[in-house]
Amino acid sequence: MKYKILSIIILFSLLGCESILDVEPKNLLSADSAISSERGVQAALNGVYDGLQTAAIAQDVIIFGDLAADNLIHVGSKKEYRQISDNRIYPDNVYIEGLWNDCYDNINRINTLLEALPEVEELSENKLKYYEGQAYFLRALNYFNLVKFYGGVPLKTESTTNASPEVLNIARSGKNETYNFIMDDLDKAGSRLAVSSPEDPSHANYWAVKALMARIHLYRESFTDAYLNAKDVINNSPFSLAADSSEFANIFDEEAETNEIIFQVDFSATDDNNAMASWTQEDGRFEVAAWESYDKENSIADEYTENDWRKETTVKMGLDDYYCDKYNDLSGQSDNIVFLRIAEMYLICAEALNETGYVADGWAFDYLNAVHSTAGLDSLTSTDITNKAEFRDAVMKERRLELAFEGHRYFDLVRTGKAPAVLGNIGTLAGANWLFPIPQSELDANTKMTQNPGY
Amino acid sequence: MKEKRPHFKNCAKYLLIMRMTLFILMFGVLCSYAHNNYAQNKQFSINLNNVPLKKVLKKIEKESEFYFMYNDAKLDVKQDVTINVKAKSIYEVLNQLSKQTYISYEIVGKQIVLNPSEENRKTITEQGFEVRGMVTDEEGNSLPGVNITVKGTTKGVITDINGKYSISLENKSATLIFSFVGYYKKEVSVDGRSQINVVMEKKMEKLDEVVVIGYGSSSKKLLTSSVASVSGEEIEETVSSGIQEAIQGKTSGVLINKNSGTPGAAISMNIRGTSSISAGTQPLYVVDGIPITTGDYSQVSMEGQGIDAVADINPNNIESISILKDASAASIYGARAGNGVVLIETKEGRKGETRINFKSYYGMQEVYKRLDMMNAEEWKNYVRSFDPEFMSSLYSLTGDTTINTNWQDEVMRLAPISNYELSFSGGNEKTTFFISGRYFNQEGVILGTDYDKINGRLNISHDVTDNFTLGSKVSITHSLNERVRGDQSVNGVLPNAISIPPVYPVYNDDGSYFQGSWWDNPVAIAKEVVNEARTFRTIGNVFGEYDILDNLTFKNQWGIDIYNLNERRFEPSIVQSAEEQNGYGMDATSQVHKVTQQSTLKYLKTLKEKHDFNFLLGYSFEIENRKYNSISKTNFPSDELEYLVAAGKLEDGSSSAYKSAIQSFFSRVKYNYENKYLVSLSVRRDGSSNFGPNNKYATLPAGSFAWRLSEENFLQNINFISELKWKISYGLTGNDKIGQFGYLSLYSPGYNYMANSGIIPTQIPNKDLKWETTANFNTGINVALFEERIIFNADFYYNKTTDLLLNRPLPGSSGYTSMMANVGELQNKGMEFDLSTENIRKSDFSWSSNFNISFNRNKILKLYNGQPITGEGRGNNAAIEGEPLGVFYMYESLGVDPSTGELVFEDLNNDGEITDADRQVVGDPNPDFTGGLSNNFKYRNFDLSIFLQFIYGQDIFNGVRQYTENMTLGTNDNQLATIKDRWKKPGDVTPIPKVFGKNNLKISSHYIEDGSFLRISNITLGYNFSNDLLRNFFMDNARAYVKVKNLFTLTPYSGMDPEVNYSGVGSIRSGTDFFTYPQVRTWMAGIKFQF
Repeated sequence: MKYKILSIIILFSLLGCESILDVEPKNLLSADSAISSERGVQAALNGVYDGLQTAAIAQDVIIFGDLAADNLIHVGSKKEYRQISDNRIYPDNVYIEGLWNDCYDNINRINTLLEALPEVEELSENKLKYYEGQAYFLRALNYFNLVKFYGGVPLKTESTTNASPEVLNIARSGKNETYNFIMDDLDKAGSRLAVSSPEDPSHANYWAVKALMARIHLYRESFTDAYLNAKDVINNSPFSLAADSSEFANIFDEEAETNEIIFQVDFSATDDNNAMASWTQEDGRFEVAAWESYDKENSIADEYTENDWRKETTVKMGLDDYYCDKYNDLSGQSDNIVFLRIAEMYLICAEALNETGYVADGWAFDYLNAVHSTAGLDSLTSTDITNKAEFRDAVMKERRLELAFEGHRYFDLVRTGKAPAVLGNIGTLAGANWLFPIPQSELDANTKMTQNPGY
Repeated sequence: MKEKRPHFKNCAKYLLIMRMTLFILMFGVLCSYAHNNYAQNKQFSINLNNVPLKKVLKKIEKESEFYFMYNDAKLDVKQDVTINVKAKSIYEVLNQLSKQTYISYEIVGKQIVLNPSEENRKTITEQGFEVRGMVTDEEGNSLPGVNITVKGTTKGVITDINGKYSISLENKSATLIFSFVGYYKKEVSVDGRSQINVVMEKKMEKLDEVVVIGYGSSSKKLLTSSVASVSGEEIEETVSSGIQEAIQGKTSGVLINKNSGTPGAAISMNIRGTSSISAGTQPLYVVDGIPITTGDYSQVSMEGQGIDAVADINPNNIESISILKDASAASIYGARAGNGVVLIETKEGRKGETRINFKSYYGMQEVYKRLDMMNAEEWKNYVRSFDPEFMSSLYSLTGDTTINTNWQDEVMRLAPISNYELSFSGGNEKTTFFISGRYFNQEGVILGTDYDKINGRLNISHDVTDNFTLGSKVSITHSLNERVRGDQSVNGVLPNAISIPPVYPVYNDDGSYFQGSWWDNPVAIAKEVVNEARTFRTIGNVFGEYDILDNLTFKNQWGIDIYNLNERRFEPSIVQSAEEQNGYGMDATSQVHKVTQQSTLKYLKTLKEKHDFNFLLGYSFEIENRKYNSISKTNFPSDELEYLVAAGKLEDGSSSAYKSAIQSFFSRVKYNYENKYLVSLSVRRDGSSNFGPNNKYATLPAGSFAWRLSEENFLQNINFISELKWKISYGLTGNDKIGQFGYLSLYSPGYNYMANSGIIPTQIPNKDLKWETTANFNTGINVALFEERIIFNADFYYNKTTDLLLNRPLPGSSGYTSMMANVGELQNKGMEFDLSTENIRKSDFSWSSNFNISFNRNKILKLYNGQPITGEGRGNNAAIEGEPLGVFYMYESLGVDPSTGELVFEDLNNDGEITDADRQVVGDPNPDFTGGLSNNFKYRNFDLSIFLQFIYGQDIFNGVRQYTENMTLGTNDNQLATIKDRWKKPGDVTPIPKVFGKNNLKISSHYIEDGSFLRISNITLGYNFSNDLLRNFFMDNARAYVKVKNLFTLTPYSGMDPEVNYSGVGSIRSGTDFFTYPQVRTWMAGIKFQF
């Protein structure tokens, strides 16, 4: 009996001798194994696109471009939106912080992917280019979103894997340097995607690279390069202008068949939702700045002429006020967010050509009219637009009408120097050379960070 | 996938465990030479000639653990005997003695009862009148060895092993005196009776009571640490559904808060203040030696009405609860003891007759306070004051201008509560058992709520051999909790019942629910929405205990804790939240399975009769697996079909799993010098899978010292002092609830794009991540005066928690906004006082009192870079350096400006604008002091107890007022009747601002209230039926009582009840009331029978 008891006790005690503290996560992947196969690469890339679906990038990046300008106003009581609507922004504005953080979160996802890609042995050379090309484009897009709001920013080129001061404290690069970096990424993306590019507009593709290059050249006033890139897209890409009002209205719909879009972020009811419709539809947070009581002259609602069939989709009269109807899938919340579309390329060509020299009824007129008359309006001629300055204004107006509520207006006003005149030389934005403030949280945690002058 | 280096490191640890186990085993092997029954194997060598019997008995007592019980008057112990044995058992010795002296003996364990032998007895009884009888204790257990003497003579007998006696008397009117150690003396006059049965009443020797401590027990006298204990009887007396409620207010230093009045809702316990901000504040619960699963694993969001796995323990099966308050007591539980430890022991059977207990109670619960909302007329006047046209559109909707619905009455009700319980306990020489079953039902005072619970328990212990015991304790529970959404949800029953104007009817003329307003019909939500939480719980352990030597015991125990929670929600399309979806259904299962093993080795050694040593060495591990799955669907073809098979559209489906493990080594030495100087030293080493590789093991030591001055010579002559002890302790405890895998670089799934799965990097690894450490200093005194009629305890403590786990903010440019790091510090200091007195102690009347009061001061010493954490929860709680945790940080309201009717806030920085910079600390949800007072009266067979509980100085953010007194948000919501006195015209001086005041809705001190309260928690009047009566019904014991809980609450708080806390006490989000399910008043009656 004694020995029986003893052996039982021995047996039971021995059961405890496993190395039990070696516990592996069941719902998470360790960093070493996460991106080690093509499936992992694809998943990591999907993770990057998922980051473009956040409220900050998919909605704020777009909305703020119109809210800070004269297209939208905030009608609710959210002080953070009110600040942007009033051009009086403070560094503790959580939406400004969210935009900054989400862009860098996305950049970190991309850097992680870029570092892992060369290690994945099963990838063919073309596949590697396919993935790298998209990653470089998306990194450029994020930095472009940052530079246009905040000016020169810290250039993170490596993933963050520890919290040492050298990793966390990074100084800002200049605006030019940031743009050069973006162009460099776009070059890398272009060379790779030229060989191996996705064909749907919901993924970064070769033409998206070209189109973004065109826009950045325009922002940097490299008009010839802007023209050449935009022309390349117009002439050689499969994309074409929406032919009628219903096609125009469909641009933002989830299911719509359109050739207009070069690059968009796709939403669907089963994936992340896009709250844009609930914000901009009637009784949403934002209203079209149209009502005289809001003290905005030249309201966008008044700019459209009778026959312009874009108006119906863009500004719609509700019970009390105008609201934006580009994003209207209230129940499914699956409107797509369009970052690049072909109409913008025509307008870039028009503007760039005009900047290099006004030619009465020249090519610039053709490009402008391609957009203008497609909208159901009479073509413009040199009798309507007699000189370079008038042509510039005509392009600006066309951009406003065509690209309303797509995040362009504020940056168009700033880059052409029209912001003080249109928005008034008041508020913090005017004093800060029209740059948004660096978020306070970044300044607190990054010792090398500096605030934009004026804040 | 695996990191290689840490793996090797673990191998080393593996070897260490092997060595430990081997050591324990080898020790066992060496020491395991046969020792059976003590009586059989304890050997004596005695050689004494012609010495008094007394001397022999003394020698035996000295050389062994045996002790003798006999009556001097009956047994001549001065007679000389001769004894000569060598290495013989006690039987041999006693046999020799009995031959010479005509004594008979009985051995019960280590107790030997000596009686004159039968022949001897006969000669005595023949002489006169004989009285026979039986002596028992209050529970009906027979008492052997009771001294019975005839008053005024030296004549006497003692009771035998069965508690029986017979005594011959010369005088039929003599008086017998019954006395027994530990019991009150009892005098009974014979009055010619020949049969006298006596029940002895136990003396209240409170300080000799044994208290359960970690991996052992100790008498209260010999404790060196701070341990609060509550007995099973006290717990049973409170008639509670769960254990935390049962000990609420009973002990100092323990703050218990019912977070919501929902039947079966989680209750939070806070021992000596909050020692963590983000790693959990609830204590470790240990049931029968095994740490159990606690917490809320619910996947269906019920806002403030969480459920807690602790609720599955039946309070009536509890023998005792010990709450380990200081580090010296708790540190033996190491890295999980930072919030204190609650030790629960369940009942065991006793050797002897089988006992059957039946208990039952029934009661009615009511909401004792309703919010004073406006009636239909008042509401109409209010709405007309700003919107004269609204009325016409309203009446086109209902067509009836006479409706005046009291919505609170519609959703509240009188609700029954009942409990039925049957238990059997008993055992023979080898086996003891305790079997119990219970059915408990509590309907809620809010329509649609119900809590139903079945508990079963089997505790069994069997002596396989004389030194090997096997046992098992198993409990099973099934509970079904039907809740309604309430606290924190605007879709809930109460928020809608309070907000919906009284002008709407509950039902349409055709009997269907009225749903025409933009408020959801609360009666429809209560009755039609299904929210079931079904728990299946098994907590069980098996153990083997082996006495290797008399003073060396090895124990191995295995425990399992299986917690399965199944939740089902169904919202039919007739309620607004599911109207568009054609019904919403969800089904979710959470499983938490835990396996525990622990081995302990205990060794007792006494040196020179003065130095007592008590050694403990132990090893344990614990593996926990958690698994969740859930599925939700919409688009039901009919509201009749509420299971998902009927639903057309899949909304969401998911499953996930987690595993964690803890491995520990622990040791303790207790030293006792003549019961005068007491020392205890302990250390525990805890390894946890949650800790980073650089800090895999936490080593947490503690030490304590106590000096019992009352044992010193200089106090021996002061008779009124029965006990005087000073104690001091210092030690470290930890908190390991820091989340999993914070030390790994990880990718998280679920970040999908276009229905393709996506992964993203989600954290910067912190390889240094570790437990939070609390250093705890405690000192106190225990005083007992006048034979323990007055017992007073005072404790003073200072606890400092370092390495607090907090989110360290990172620059957004890193791609992350924060990482978990051990960066903060906070402290708790406090005082606790307990006083228990026996004010009157007479044979037919007694009165005793217990009073406790505790003061705790919490302060945050350090946060990351001093950055405050603000805006937490609805009440804008904050963590700010230098302030207590959870202070209300918001605008200070200066009241209503009589000229404008607007609420005015203090402009702290005088910049002319009210901005975030003007926020300040305006209140503190932490109480200044808390306590309880109980008074117990006994008059003959009646007893009366009254229990008062009080909390002073806690502030509450009254979110209900912010919602229903703001006259801004949802302007047509019904409002509190207080708004009738709102500001209406310039010059009005009133605390209530005007309609549409721009600051009405802002979170400010305008909505902070004093939540102090004094509550008559419990009044019980009981009657114990007399024994003579009961014997006719074959009963040993019977009791009937009536009781009222929460009879009266005195409080300045304007809400339904000041006991509110949607995320529990001790959390950063403390002290917010937002449509909290109210606490109830309960009237009840109960009975108890013992057969």
